[in-house]
Amino acid sequence: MNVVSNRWVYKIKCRSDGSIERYKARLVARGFTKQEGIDYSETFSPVIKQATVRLVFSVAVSCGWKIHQLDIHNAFLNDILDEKVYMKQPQGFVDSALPSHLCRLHKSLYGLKQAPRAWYTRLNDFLLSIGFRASKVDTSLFIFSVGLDICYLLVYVDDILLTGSNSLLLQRLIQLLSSEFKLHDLGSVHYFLGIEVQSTSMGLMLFQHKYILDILTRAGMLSCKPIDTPISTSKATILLDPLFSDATRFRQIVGALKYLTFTRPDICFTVNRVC
Amino acid sequence: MAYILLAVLLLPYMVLQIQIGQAVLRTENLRVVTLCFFGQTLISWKSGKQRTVARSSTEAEYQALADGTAEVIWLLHLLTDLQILSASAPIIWCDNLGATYSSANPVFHARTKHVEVDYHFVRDRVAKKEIQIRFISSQDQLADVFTKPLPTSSFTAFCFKLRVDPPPLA
Repeated sequence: MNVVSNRWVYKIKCRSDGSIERYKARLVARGFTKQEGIDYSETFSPVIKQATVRLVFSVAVSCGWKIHQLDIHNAFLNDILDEKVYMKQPQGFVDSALPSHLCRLHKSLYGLKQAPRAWYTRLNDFLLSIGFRASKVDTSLFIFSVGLDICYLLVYVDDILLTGSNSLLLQRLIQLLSSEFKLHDLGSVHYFLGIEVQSTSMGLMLFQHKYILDILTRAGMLSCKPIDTPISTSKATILLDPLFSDATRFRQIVGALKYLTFTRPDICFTVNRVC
Repeated sequence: MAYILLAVLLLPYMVLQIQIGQAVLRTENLRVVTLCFFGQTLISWKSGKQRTVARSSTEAEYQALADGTAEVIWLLHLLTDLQILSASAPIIWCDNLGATYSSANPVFHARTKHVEVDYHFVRDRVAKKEIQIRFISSQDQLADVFTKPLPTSSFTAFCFKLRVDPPPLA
């Protein structure tokens, strides 16, 4: 039998403008101490594709639909575990009478290898049971159609986007979801996957202002002089800057830049070049 | 800092359009690009080095066309799932005449000898009228920004066409 240890994780949650929203403490299982076959079997959990997000945004904007963003509280704590997982008692809450006892986990915890998959399966089963249909080409897209009305639901782990042709139907679906999960309706989408969304008279604007500032801060280039194009046309890019002597750091920044191409197709070539 | 703008289009049907582009860089292999537009909104893009060796630009473009076709078919399935019907078959804009002609006319040319699999894949879809392939001149296609370093003036112009706009004055 394998025993999983645990740890408390403290985090400061920020809003899209960088101000502090709340302080958070969470008990996580140290899932890397688990063994495959004993503590978990399948771990893969699908996430939404970028093209799908953009396509659904585009359709919603064209039809003038409101895009709701829903946030599920403590999504991973909802799921019932199939496997038998034992964990040490949480730090600071050890029973003084029985210090050598273990906890048998009934429900999932953050940090467990199978937590994302268990959550996806649970949400998937629930959505199918209330009449949604999963898309065949993107398993994180769910469609609900009744008569001429249609609703789309996009799932990115515990972030959910819901849009559709009938606002009453949307309200009913949100009610159905909140009867099963503890969720928070954030209203119109404005901050999804680190992307800021602003609606204007011309449509929706997507930008990653905060994300760009984070990358610049991390790279120590906040005070650098801006230039007009991402790559020089004349000379080949020379990577001799001391920043790039550290391979790990270079890869971290390139990885961060790759996600930035979500709203910046113009730097796609340059990012691809430095990979 | 620049933004992407998703435009409002109040047309009942929006046509899916794909642009295929390629460029040869001095130091590297050929680069291929696929851009997918839905109405005027750019929804999917890919820039990468060519996956196999090609002996001519037509051959390379044809391989890119096959990749583009695969992407279109995926998007078509997605649109079907979303219950959105397109009024016409999606259009793939290709800036190579040789590849455009070979997709419609079942004649093997000396320069396309080695691309049979891609050839049949694309031709099959064209014959079934699932996609249309049309020629676009290199000046008009938008793929350049994904394939080569550009000077400021053309870079800004491409950003404008891709709807990557500068922020409005706050």
